[in-house]
Amino acid sequence: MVQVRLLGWKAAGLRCPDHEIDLTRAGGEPHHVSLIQMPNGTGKTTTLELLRAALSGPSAWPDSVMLGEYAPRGATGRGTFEVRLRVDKRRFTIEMALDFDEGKPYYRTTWTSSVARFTRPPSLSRVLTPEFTPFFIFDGEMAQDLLDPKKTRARQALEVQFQLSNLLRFQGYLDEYWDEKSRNVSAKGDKGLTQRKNKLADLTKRRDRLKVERTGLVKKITDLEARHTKLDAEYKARFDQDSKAQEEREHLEKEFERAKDNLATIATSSLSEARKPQNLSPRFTRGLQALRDNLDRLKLPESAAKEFFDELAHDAHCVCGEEMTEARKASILARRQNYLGKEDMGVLNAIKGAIKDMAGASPESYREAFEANLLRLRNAVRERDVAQNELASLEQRRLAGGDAELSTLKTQLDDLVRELDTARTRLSVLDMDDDGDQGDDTDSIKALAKKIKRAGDLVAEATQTRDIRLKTTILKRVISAAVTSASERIAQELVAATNKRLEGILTRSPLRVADICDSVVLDGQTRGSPGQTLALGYAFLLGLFDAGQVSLPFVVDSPTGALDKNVRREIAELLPKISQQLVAFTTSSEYEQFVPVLDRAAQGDVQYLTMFRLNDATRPLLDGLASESVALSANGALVSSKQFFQGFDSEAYGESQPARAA
Amino acid sequence: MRVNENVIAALKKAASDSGQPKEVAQRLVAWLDDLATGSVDIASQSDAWTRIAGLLEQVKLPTDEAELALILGEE
Repeated sequence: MVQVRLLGWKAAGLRCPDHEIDLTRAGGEPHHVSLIQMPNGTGKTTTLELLRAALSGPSAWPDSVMLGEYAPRGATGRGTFEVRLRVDKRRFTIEMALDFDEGKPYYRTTWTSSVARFTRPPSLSRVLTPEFTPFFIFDGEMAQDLLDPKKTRARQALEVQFQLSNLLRFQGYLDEYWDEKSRNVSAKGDKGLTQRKNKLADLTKRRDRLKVERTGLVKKITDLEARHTKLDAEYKARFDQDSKAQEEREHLEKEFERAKDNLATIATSSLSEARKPQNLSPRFTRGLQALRDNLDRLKLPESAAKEFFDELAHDAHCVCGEEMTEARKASILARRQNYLGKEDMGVLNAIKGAIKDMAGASPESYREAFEANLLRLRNAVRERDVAQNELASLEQRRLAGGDAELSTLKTQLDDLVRELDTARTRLSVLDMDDDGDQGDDTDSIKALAKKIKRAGDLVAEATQTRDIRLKTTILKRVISAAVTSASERIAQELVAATNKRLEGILTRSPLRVADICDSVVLDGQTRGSPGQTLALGYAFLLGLFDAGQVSLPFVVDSPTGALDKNVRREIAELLPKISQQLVAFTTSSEYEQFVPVLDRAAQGDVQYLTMFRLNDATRPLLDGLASESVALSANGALVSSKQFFQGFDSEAYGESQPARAA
Repeated sequence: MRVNENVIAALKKAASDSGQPKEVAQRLVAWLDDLATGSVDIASQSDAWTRIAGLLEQVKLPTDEAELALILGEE
């Protein structure tokens, strides 16, 4: 259980007197019970509300009007309120400054480090809130709220104290997680997944059908080619029965083959030549030559060429063949620098050299040579066509000769060729790499394979998204069931514990709790007397804090205010059990039947503090007091003394409370 | 363990009733325990999402398509 202890607080420049309360003993541990007696109008309620606001953070301040109510009369500037806590073994400090001019609160908190904002230790994030602090910074109004069916105080407290609120927050995180994971997914539901699956199935079915067709086509083409070879051989055999025709056919076929080969060679060469810019236009050639001329004068890479000149100068003969005289040697060494450049000169030299080799001659000469090449290509095409026509003409003449069997073979052969062409054309469609974006009705098996891959990815994405949705839904269902079940069980235990305590407190006017729904539901009645309600509040909170996971200090304003004197004893015995630290703001009217009993119940570990405003009426009270038991501020006094506490008549020094905004 | 025993029991039973492995309840309890000790902050979304990712790995989906459709229909 996380142990939270209130070590003290300090107020300055606020509606209450400036004061500093230290709730600890000499060893630093807080007293089990601290009683702070204050005359009415001194600031009990104000201090209680400031404690709540400091522990709840900026959201406790809905507007600037409310904040202004904490200013001393007619004052401007800033008021400050500092709360010191201990969470387990570490200090946690909240400094709250109320700027009355701006109407804004400012917070500084110190936990692991000091930051100029309200931050909480993570273990207290669900209890240090405006909704929960009233359960441990308590007053009679809160006790009334527990019974108000329009308010969800009781169930809310239960959910916070037993971490059910955290489980409900997990559900919120599950929704956020799902939203994030499905943000860029178009198919989020089962319908979208089904549509994607159907599309994938359709595409796969189409691809499989086309694959079967292709297999059939390949086999058909193989068969047709075999039949073609056989039929062609039969046709030629029949054709060659005319020996003259045979001789002419063989000659023409050789011519045709030669013309085709010649055409292929020239076409390849022409295509290669057509890629060279100097062949396309003299303007390109002139441009290249201008580029070459505008590059730096030819130089040699220094690192490689310097050695060359050195060795040459010491050789017997120059590269030109002349004898190497002293004058020539000196000239080479003196002028070699003119021919040496940086390393990247090599690249430029290569470019210059290539231009010179490829386009160094007359610009028109390249185009003229290319034109001649194109003329050869045209002639080769013509030569092939002539050979083909002569073959066709020979065939026509042979067929016209009246050989019926030859004609039949020719017809069969032509039909076979047409069938073969059709099959090959269809196969080429099935084998196309690019279908020109024909959509899902494409016949390209390769294009379909890509579409199937994409559709498969989309199905996987939708499946994954659906699974996340299913799983988050299941988890939310688990959490909802657990929250309902745990809440019921805890509520039942809380009802039993509350009733048991009420039996001991309200012996004369019994009150029983029937259930804890949104609020506490009484058994057989809708409301109790103010005393019964307050007793119920204590009994409920005792059960709540007893079984919860955070041990909190319990701060209460006028703990027996509305209670019958007969009930006070029971309350006095109960209160120290509610929390391991009780801080109560009291008046002297509450002393009887309460404080002495409380002192015994707390086994004497009670701190007695009395605080009052300093004025002409109260100043004489300080006479004779030991200085170490009195702490004075500009407008107030704080006396640490049991004897003074017992003798102080707070009602004699009370001030009328100024009206506060609703 | 700083988590109330009623909460632990309720999570175990809810997970079991939904046909989920015990690890689902264990992870939820561990999350609550870490929050109670203050080792993580409920406001930390990154921690929450890391834990949710781990939790989802433990969740078992029903094999019956009709049951799956029923779950989706709940949303």
